[in-house]
Amino acid sequence: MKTNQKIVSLFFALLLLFVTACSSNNSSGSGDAASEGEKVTIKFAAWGGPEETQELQDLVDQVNETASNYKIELIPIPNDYYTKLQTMISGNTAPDIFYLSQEWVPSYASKNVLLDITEYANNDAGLDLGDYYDEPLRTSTYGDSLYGLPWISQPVVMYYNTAMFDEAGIPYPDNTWDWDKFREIAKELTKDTNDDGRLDQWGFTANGWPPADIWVKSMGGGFFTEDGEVVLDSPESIKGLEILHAILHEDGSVPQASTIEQQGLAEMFKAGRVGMFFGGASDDLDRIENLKVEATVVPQGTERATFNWIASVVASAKTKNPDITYEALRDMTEAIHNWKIVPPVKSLTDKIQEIEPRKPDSTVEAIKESMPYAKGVTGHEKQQELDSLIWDNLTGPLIQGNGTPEELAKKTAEKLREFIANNE
Amino acid sequence: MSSKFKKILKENLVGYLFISPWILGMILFTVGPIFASVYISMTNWDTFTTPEFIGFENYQNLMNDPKFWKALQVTFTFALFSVPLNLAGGLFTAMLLNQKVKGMKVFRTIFYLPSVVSGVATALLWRWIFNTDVGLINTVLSKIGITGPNWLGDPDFVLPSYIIMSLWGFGNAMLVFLAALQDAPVALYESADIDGATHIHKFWYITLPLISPILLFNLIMGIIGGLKIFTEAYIVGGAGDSALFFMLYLWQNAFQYMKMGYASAMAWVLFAIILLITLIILKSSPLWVYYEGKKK
Repeated sequence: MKTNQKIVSLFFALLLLFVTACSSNNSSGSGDAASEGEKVTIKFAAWGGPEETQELQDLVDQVNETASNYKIELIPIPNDYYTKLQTMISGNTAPDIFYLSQEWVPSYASKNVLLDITEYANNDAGLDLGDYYDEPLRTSTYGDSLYGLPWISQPVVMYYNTAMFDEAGIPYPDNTWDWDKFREIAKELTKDTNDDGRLDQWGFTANGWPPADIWVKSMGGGFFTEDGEVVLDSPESIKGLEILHAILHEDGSVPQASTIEQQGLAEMFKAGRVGMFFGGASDDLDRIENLKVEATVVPQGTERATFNWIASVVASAKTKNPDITYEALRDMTEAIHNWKIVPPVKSLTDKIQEIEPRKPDSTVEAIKESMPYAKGVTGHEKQQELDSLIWDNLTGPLIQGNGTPEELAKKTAEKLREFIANNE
Repeated sequence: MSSKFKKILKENLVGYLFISPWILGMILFTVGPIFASVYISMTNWDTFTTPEFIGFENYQNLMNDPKFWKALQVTFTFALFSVPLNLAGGLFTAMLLNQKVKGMKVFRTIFYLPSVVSGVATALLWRWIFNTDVGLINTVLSKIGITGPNWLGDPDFVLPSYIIMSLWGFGNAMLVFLAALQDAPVALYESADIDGATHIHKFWYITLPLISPILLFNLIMGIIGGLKIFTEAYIVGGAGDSALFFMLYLWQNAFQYMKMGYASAMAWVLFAIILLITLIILKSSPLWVYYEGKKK
């Protein structure tokens, strides 16, 4: 009898514990009680590998030391970042501040998940918005509101293997190159070095990266205008796609798609099998052992253009203390500017080598030159669906050689217009 | 409360207590979400804002979504070939492993080993095996003068690649078949031998009927597994949408396009399809499944 009663009470005790443990999650999400001089906890979600996370943790510790009213707690999310983030937000345990890549900003902002920081930023004497490059700032803006501060802005530049150029007796690429010159040299660098009848050195490589944007925009075209109008089927855009198509399928200067897929796009360059590579500004391509690599800007068409990979730190709309969260967001972002390259602010462009001493002069020059014209994504609330649509109808078939650039561009443009019209 | 009921409750309380963690977990993390997803499938929900009830609109939209049909087609074509091949492969291997040969335990372990390897590792391994230039398959083919295809890059070869890859996992079916084969009474085979039966006779008239219940089990599990393929598709990919498996498209909708309602509707459609197929197979089973001691 007694034992039974004990068991019953134990059962309910456990049940109670379980239920409270589950429900308490709801409130633990964001910064509790700023009262009585206690520091507000600001949860900060970020992606990154183990090494990067350790560096970021050190940075967070530094920021926390100088902060008087908050304490940032880092939540590293090494894999499946957006799946995890989406689940946390849906479950009301959103981190107070978090990384958000440019293509997700309109999607999150339109769903009212992000804190509008326009007022805070405008009234913040300690913040100089004018110091930011326009393009990164544009990608953290949705409608007329600012939803975050960019922490990185990496223009795509062209890395090249100097040994390969020396061997072929070709002068190094520079900022005067256009696509014709580029194609010509890429063909010259492509060869069978050991005479086994199979190519083992290529001039260039592409498999969906680098983004087709680069070619399209350099010929004066684009996927969308800044107002979101589809211009993918304009003659300029088609011209750009035709150049990319020729590089992929006519010149023979690019490895087979399957070879690239399995040996790795950048890995082939690092292994010294590819002469020229378009990479992000902070890639480690120019510090590979036994490989001398320099960089310059990507070749020009009728205009100068390159892709810009941008990410921001944003805040959750549900954060408990927006004022303090904004402060933490600003301090954290500014700290990151001095840690990661390329900082999206003009005042630090000359300090790239102080931030990242391993970056060679030529790469730094290429970055500086690219920054003013490097463009990010236009941004749409359903960017992911647009990206799938573009991949399925344009990029994928273009890489496989199924269809002419003109056909593909026209078909894709039609589908994009239809999609946008249906989702307005 | 009647005293009888009280007594039963008292007697069983300890039992319930012991299974309570499972019951709680089951209700909270399985039954709850299942019921929730019925509702979610009738809403327009981006997972961030409040779900908006739209009735059966998601289901209607599915019917007009070419990618949904493409995903169904890809998935069913895959299952149509992969399931029978896996059953045949599993059964054949189980029969080989049922022979009396020295060191059989080692062989059994070896053949079962692939089924223990994690799906992600397997998928990564197969990507290399299918490599056009340096992959195992094409290297072997080139030795005998055949230029192998671009397995994962050529839309026509993507599904065959997946079907070949799926054969890697027949170990589970094989194990169950092996257990069934070992259960088969030796006396039956001995009398058949005396009557002068051939190997084919013995297989057709003794082995197959005896293991037919197991065949039924493996068939149903195989179909469910085949239609739910995700890990391989997520890791390996494939040219264009030739590897757009149902679960992959479902995941894309849920976590990339943030259309959780639509994804839930997809899940229920797949559930209905699997349920229907399973019911048809179960109803048809008296025609081809033999249960000992049960007269037709």
